[in-house]
Formats: sequence, C-alpha cells, structure tokens
Amino acid sequence: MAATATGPFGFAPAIAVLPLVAFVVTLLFGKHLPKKGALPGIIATAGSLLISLVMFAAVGGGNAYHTTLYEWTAGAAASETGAEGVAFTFGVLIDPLSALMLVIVSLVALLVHVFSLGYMNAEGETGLPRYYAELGLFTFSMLAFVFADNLLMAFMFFELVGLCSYLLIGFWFRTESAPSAAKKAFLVTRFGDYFFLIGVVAIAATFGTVSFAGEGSFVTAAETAIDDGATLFGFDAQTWVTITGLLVLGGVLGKSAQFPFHTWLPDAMEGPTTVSALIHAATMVAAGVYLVARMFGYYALSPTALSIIAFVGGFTALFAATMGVVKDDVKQVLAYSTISQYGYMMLGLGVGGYVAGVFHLLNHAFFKALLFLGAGAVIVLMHHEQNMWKMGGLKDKAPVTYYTFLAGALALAGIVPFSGFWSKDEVLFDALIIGLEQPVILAAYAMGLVAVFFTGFYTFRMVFLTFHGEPRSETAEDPHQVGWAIKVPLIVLGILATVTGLVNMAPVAKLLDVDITFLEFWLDGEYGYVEGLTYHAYHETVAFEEGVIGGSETTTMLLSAGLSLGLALAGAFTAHTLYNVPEPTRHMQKLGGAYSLLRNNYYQDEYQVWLAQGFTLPLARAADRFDQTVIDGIVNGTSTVSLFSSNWVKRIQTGIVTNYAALLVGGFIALLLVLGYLGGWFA
Amino acid sequence: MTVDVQYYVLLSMAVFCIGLFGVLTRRNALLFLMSVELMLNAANINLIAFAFYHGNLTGQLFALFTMALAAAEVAVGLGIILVLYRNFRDIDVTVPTTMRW
Amino acid sequence: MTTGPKLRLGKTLVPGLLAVGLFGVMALITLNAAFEPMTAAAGAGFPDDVSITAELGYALFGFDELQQIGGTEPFLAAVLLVAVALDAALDASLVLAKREEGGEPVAALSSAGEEASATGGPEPAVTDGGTDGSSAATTDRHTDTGGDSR
Repeated sequence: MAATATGPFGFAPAIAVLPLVAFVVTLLFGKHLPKKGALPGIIATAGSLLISLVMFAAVGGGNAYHTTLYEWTAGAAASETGAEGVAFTFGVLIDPLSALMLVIVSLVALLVHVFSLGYMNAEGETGLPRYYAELGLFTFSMLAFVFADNLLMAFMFFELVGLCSYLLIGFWFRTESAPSAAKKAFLVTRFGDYFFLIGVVAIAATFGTVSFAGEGSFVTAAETAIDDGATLFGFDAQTWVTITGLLVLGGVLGKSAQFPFHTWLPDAMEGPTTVSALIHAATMVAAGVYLVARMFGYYALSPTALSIIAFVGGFTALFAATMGVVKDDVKQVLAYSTISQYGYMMLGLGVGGYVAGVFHLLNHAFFKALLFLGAGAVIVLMHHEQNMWKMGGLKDKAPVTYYTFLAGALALAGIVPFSGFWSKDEVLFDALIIGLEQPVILAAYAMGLVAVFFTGFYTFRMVFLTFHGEPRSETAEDPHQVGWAIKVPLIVLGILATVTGLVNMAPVAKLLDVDITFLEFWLDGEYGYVEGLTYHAYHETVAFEEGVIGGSETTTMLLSAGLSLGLALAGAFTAHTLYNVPEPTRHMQKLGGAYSLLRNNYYQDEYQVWLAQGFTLPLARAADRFDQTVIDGIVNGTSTVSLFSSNWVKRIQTGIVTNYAALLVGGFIALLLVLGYLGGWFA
Repeated sequence: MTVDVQYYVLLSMAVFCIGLFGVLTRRNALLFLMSVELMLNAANINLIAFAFYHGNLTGQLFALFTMALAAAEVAVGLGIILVLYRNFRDIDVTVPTTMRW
Repeated sequence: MTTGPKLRLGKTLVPGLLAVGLFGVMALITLNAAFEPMTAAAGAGFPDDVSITAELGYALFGFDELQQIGGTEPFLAAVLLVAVALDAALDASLVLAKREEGGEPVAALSSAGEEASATGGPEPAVTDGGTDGSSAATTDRHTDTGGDSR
C-alpha cells in the first residue's frame, strides 16, 4: 500500500521537533526553570511518546506514511544506472519498523529523563541545564534518524547522534577521563562514519537516489541493476552492491560498537549512567543496527555482505562476552554485555533473520535500559561506588532495585520466559538453519552459542556480587535511599523486560501451531506497510539455503532453544556456585594467562594506540613536514619573490608626471617601430 | 588647388609632437595644460583633413565635440591646478609626488 | 616656487628628444603611406553651393531632411551628452576651487552679500592664491596640515 494518507501522520515531524524545542528552551532558560530544565525534556519526550503511540496505532490500523518534507537541493547529474538527476530531501517514513522504533526511543528517553530527576537533580550535580539540553538534542537526533526516509538524512542525524553522545559522555568534562573517553568515542565512530559517508556518496552516484522506500529507492534500483546484469563502475552489479553496502556498514560497526570499533564503548561509561542507558538502549548504539534493519533490502541483495555482518556479529558477541566476565565495575560489565548483545542483533540480521534482529533490538532496548538504570540506582545506593567487590547484600535493603534488576538480568541472560530468551533464541535459530548450509554462518552461530554461556555467567556474577552475600563495605551496609523518580522507571522497564518477549514466541507458536508471532506479522505487513519493506519481501531476496536437523523445523527449533537455554542456565549456575556465597572471592588464578588477556580487553586498546602512534603519527608528521616545507615553501617563496621584485619595480613610480609621459612615449615609439617593421610600413 | 592629405597629417603630427615636447620638458602645470591643448588640436587637424578627404562631414562634427570636451578638460584641469597651488604653494608638477607609493 | 613660465634649457630638454624621435618615426610612416591625391575625382571635397556650417548644424541636431550632404549620423544625443559634460566640468571646477577657512567652506564664486562684508566675514576667495597677507597665511596653514581634506 503506497501510503499517501495523512490524518494522524501529519503530526509525525512533531515527534522529533518536540525534543528539539525542549533543547532550545532548556538551553536558553534552563537556569531559571524549576528542576533545572528537566521539565521541558520530560514534557517533550512524553509528547513524542504519545505521538509515537498514535503512529504505532495508525500503522496497526493498516496505514503507512512516506512523504517528502523539504527538498534542499537537486542536481541534474546522471547516475551510473542512468537515472536522471538526484534530489536530496528531508522526508518522513513511518512504516512498521520505524513506528516500533519511535515508540522504543521515545519511551526510553522519557524514562531516562524521569530517572535523571533522581540520579542527577537529587545528587546535586552542576551543569544540569546543559545536561538536559543535550539529552533533548540527543533524543531529537535519534528520533529524526529513525523516521528518516533517505540515506543522506539518516547520515546527517547519525552524525548528530554521534555529536550528542560526545557531548554527553564528556559531561563531567572537568575530570581527566571523561573528555578523553568522549574524544575516543567521537573519533572511533567518526572513523567508521567516514566509510559511511563514502558509501552514501557511492550509492547516490550509482543509483541517483538515496531514498529508502518506494519505487525510486536505491534498493529497487540495485535490484533492477542486478537483474539486468549491469556493470557499475567497472564491477559486476552484485559486487558493487556488496562494496557500497560494506562501506555503509563501516558506520554501523562504529556506532554499534562491533569489532574492531568496539573500544570506545566501555570508555563511554565515563558519562552519567543515565546517558549510558540512553546510548546503549535506544539511541547511539541502536542507531547502527537500526540502519542495517532500515536498509535491509539492500543488504539482502548481497549474500557476501550478509555473511560478513553475521560473522562480525557472532564474533563480537563471543569476544565481548568473554571480556565482560572479568570486569569489576558494574557499568563495565554492562558495557561489554551491550557490545555482545548488538553482536547478536548483527548476527540475526546477517543471516536474514530480520524479525529476529529487530526483536532482539526491541527487547534489548528495554532490558538494557533497565539494567543501566538499575546500575544507576545501585550507584546512588552506594554513594557513587561502582566496584562490585565493594557491594553485596543490597537485596534486602533495596528490593525494588533488586527485583527489577533481576528481571533485566534474566532477560539479558536469556532465561525463559523473560524477553531476552525469545529473541536470542530466534536469532540463534535463524543462524542455525542457515548455518547448516553455510560453514561461515555455522562458525558465527557457534560463537554466538558459546557467548550465551558467558552471558549467563557474567550477568549473574554481576547480580550475585552486587545484591547477594554479605555487605563488603560500610556504604553497602547503610545504602542511600532512592526516590520515586528512580523507582518508577525501573518498575515500568522491569515489567516491559519481562513481557515484551511474549510478542513473538516463535517456538511456542510452532509447537502449539497458533498464530502468536505478532512481531513477525507486524513486520511482515499484516498491518500497515510500505511496499518492499516487509519481512516477506526481504526473505525472498536473501539468497541463503535453509537446512533443518532431524528432518523437521520444529525439532530444529526446539533443539536450538533447548541448547541456548541450557547454556544460559549453565552459565548462571556456574556464577551461582562461584559467587553466590556470603564472602565471594576472586577466581582469577583459575584463568591463568587468559585472565590478564581478558582483563586487558585482548589488548585491543593497546594495538589501536600502537596503530595511532606507530603508524598514523609518523604519517601525519611526514605530511606536516611536507606541508611545512614544500607547500609553505612554495607559498612563501612566491610572496617573497613578488615582494622583492615589486619593491624594486616600484621605483619606476617616481610621482613625476614627466617621467610617466616619457615612459609612455618611449613605449609607443617602440611599438610603432616593431609594428612598422613587421607590417612593412617603412618599405 | 588643394593640398594633399599627407601634408595635413604631417602638420598634425608636428603639432602633436610640439605638444608632447612641452609635456616632456616643462614643469609648470599651466604649460602642461597648454601642451595638452596643442595635442588635442593636432587630432582636430587630422579629423578635419580627413573629413574633407572623404567628403564626409562627420569628421568636422567630431572636431566640434573634441573642442567641447577640451573646454571641459581645461575647466577641470584649472581647478586641479588651483588645488595643487593651494596645497603646495606651487604649480611645479615635480613637487607633488606624495601619492606614488 | 614657480613665479612664472621660465625657459629652461640644458638637461631638461633631454626627454624632448623622445618627442622629436616620435615625430621622425611617424613622419617616416606617413610619407611611406600611399594616399589618393586630394581631388574631387577621388571623392574629396564638398559641393561648392552648400553652406557647410548649416550642414553641420543640421547634422548636430539631427535634421536629416534638410541635409544635402549625406553620410552623417544624427548627433543630437551626443550634443546633449556634451552639454551635460560641460556642465559637470563647470561644477567640478567650482568644487575644486572651493576651500575651507576656519571650518567654513568658502566658494570661489562667493556671493558674499552686504552682511558678510559688514561683519568682516571671509573675504571673497582669491582663486589665484593671492598676495594678500591674510590669505597667504591661511593657505600656509593648509599646507602644514597636509591638505588631507582635499
């Protein structure tokens, strides 16, 4: 259905504009407002949530919306595929995917704003108007990114999201580590975005359009080009699609902290915990995966790109999970779990499991926001102590925090029936059935499966160390109290983390043969949809063979689900034996050499620093020297020569008219003589 | 009896070069003006001579215009000389050299 | 100070050689050029029975019908432009001749009426710089300040 209906969709731009207004208001008048500017942000995000829900309902009512708001430039250059002209526009695309994401983002943003009342205001932080203004801008950028209808607009807001996370990670800019972490986040993601930009330019130059949806989308153009067997820029069409897709993927890997661009994310914990919750659950990191989902039709055309996505995802999932095992800081553990979970989403999308990836994105948004806000609550309880070895025994003193945190942990670990189980299982199932035919995917699946064990382990290690056992410090014995502003978001998210898994219980649906996979229907265009942007359409495009174990899909599914659940439980049980004791001790010696390897994050930072210092810095120095000597030499030389010569030549200007006249006459005589000689006037 | 045109041209050149000689050797601004007047009238001689040579009145008309513009030029030139005198107490053209560089 | 035209000989005449040289070159070229003889047969000269002055007048004001010698363009616009140019030149010379005396501009063509002379105001401008003592002193002061306002 080509959506031209307006009605409620006319308000769609307001979803993003409201937080922008809040940003401006808070920036200008924040100091004079009650609560230091929290209220405009809360009202604006509540409004955004409301409109998003209206959009969601409207899409559920069988509509979709795709319109161009503003065309800021158009050119007549013909593209490689022969499309005449290219237009760069701002537009709104509300389809099931973006409607879902809008609700997630605005809900999490609202809860983070509310939580900030308890986390920032109550703790007497300074610079709060700046904080709330940046939160508003952050929310605005992400919401606009989500409903962007073309790649260039998406890129612009993608960058804005990066900028806002830079500002927020560096919120405590007077400390030593925060500005450095902010710079790192900015530079690492910018490195990825550089490829993204090239990808955008390449796609625009190739297909003459950057639109996501409709007849004029680059996805359709690419499909046509592949069907026609066209040659693009000297490459086979499919190869070229793979190349441009991978270029865009560079931005995705940077933003979603996938290997090898993941190093910025653990450092980003320097920001306020609320910001971490926002970055990890709904905005910055989610932006990368969302972009893959948004242009999934494009990646679906290229099995190579999909395999790379899947493999990187699986690898990152395992890689990050192992690092999370040895961390002492509660936020660090969560940071690595985020990297790992986004790895799962990439794995899911990479194997063509569009629904699975989006499902995990949805669930992860809620349980990771919950865990971060829970960690924030713990940090408030502990008077800003983040080391888990100094906690313990908080279970009885802060029951609300404990039970909500536990719900999040169960979801993260993937224990039935919490939300994480359903989505992670679906990701792994999709990976398995493809993997049975594709060895590369099978390797990615295996890594993802092993990561399940580690996830269960570090999640419950965190829970046990934080909440169970005896208090291991004075503050843990007498924790600070938390107010309603902290408890309400936790409870809301706790409920969501518990139940969101129920929207797509694929194994149950298969087993009982009932139609309860609502998310799949949602993304498959059972309700409103935009032509070509459905799971159905994607599934037909993806060129992977599917295999089954034991001859039936149900068996395979149950096997996969049982395997991942068993591993998760095994991980949780291991953590239980090791750490759920009154006086837990470190078990590092059992790991031997692996411990220091994990503790140092596989020396990823070191090798990147070495890369910067050993390679980039000398290169930059050489370039600088070239610039200073050759380029500047030429420039300075030109000016020196002209200064010197003109200083000499200016002496002709005596200021005496007679001399000028004499020069003129002399020149005239010379001219006459030359012309006369050449023209034979003296013959 | 008519004089051939090249003698008119020679006359005009002679007058022009006399004017030029004045410009090149004199230092008095008033003499400059007079010399320039000579050069202008050398051009007029040419115009009128060739008007007769071609049997066309346009050259004569142009000579009239040249005279009018010469009058304008002299008016402005005298004004400039006046200011020159007021600023330097002199109308020697070698004195005001302050605006060169 | 130049008090009057003086004949100066010697080295100052050296640039004049350029003028002489120019005349030589141009004369050489002219004498080498082949002109038609100035005869009526070659198209030279005007008819005897025509008043050339009247013809010029007609051409200047564009009265084509009255002309007997053809070939001239109508010059009305040029006449008007020259009129304007002359007017502008006159104004310009007046502006240039204006000078300041005690902060008050004094026009060269001052219409200093009875009032001015009665109160001993600025006397009418002496355009030639004058030998009058007070006027000379004033202009000297202007010389000292560099005459930047002009």
